[in-house]
Amino acid sequence: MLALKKKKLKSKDSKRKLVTAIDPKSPISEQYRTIRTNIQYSSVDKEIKAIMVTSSGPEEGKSTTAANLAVTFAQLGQKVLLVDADLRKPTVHHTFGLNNLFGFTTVLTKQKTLEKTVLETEEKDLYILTSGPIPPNPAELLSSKSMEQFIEEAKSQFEYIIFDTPPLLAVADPQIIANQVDGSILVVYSEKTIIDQAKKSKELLEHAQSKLLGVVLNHKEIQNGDYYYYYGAK
Amino acid sequence: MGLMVDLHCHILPGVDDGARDLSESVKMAKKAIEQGIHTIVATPHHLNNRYENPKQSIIDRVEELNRALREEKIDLTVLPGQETRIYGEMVAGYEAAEILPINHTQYVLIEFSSSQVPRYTEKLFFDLQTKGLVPVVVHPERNQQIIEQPEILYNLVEKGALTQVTAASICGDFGKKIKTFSLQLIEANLTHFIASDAHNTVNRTFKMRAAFDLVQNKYGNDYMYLFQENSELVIEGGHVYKEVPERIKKKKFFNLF
Repeated sequence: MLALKKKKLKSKDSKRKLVTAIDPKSPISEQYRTIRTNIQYSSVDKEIKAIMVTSSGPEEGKSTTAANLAVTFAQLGQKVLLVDADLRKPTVHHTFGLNNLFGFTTVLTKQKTLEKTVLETEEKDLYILTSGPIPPNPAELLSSKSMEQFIEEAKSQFEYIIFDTPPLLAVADPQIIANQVDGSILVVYSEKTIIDQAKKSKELLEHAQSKLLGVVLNHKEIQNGDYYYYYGAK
Repeated sequence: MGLMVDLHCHILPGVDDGARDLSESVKMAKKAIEQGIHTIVATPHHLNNRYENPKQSIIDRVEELNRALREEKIDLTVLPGQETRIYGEMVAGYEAAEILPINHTQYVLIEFSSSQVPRYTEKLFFDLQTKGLVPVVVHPERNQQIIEQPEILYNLVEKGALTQVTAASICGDFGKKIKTFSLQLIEANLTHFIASDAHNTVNRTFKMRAAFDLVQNKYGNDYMYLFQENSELVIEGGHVYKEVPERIKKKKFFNLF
């Protein structure tokens, strides 16, 4: 199936993905802020600190959403940790132009402490934990005791922890993580995500006893732009 | 028709996409007088992705404009206000003295993007109301999601929000669809104010007289006075008239056949 997928041309300038950092005044950044507020308002009694971003299939915008949300939360002046928990196809280090020698797996296997492994970014208050070396058994590592300890420790050092994960329908990893975080976000790609697969993903999250905070509809074409651009005196 | 209050106008010079400079503000002021407007609330855009106009800067500029109008012998009073783009931290913004309700009352003009209404709106409006503020949704008739799902607006109004339609929308300047929807909002008691949202004297002007004429002809004096009095009540911080909101019935065109 995957082999049949068309090769897509990718932008060499991967930083372009981070619209929230480059252009916080754009309507797209406003959309990310709206998602941020929706997350903050999604729970009255339980504080949402650890959030997982996933999707049913590949290339639907998980990493873009996770990275932009992380930037957006950091812009509130609160310490945010973005964790690349996609141990199948990690991309966060590309997005932020970072070295991936040490990272999430280094901390989970207790080779280094979290404090010594996180990387700073140009964005104040945003810290990154790249994936680190890919282990042969990601699911096993994620369901280990040290993952529980990791979340606990991260929560004590950061206001928000955002996990970028592999696709739900591909591997078990996201379900394992979903069970341990405070809530998950499902990204669907307009006119690409198959509805049945999105439904199946929702079931899997429910099965993992994860609170589905909401669905992000990615790549939706907006028919009418802001009315100023039509009626404003330019 | 009596003298009118205009609650929503981009008359302050050089702060947003409204009046470019003082001479354009003066032109707008003269036009307003012609329309029978004696008081205008200057409501610059705030945080709409292009302009930032926090409270104190608006207050200062309103004072300057009033001085200039007196020098020009134009008998128009400008009051401070703000058109705030909805954002999650509005309560904090109010507490940090960045948000400026209409003439320092409890009424806050809130703008949505033209395409949607954020899911958090209901919760945010609740939070604002617990702080004693009354959210006034501006130009709901120009919001794509509200046009498609008027239920959203009904729900917000039922829970205490007020709304303001644009005079030019009632006159049909934004098209037939928006005109029809504006009238539906009036008929369903889903709007409480008519204001100009004037940006200039050319393509985004007042249209207040024309809109009120239309309302008077179509709905009678009661409705016209209701809208005029509501605007007067707002600038004094009084209680506005609110009829019980109703749901908009979808027009069933096929019944005609």
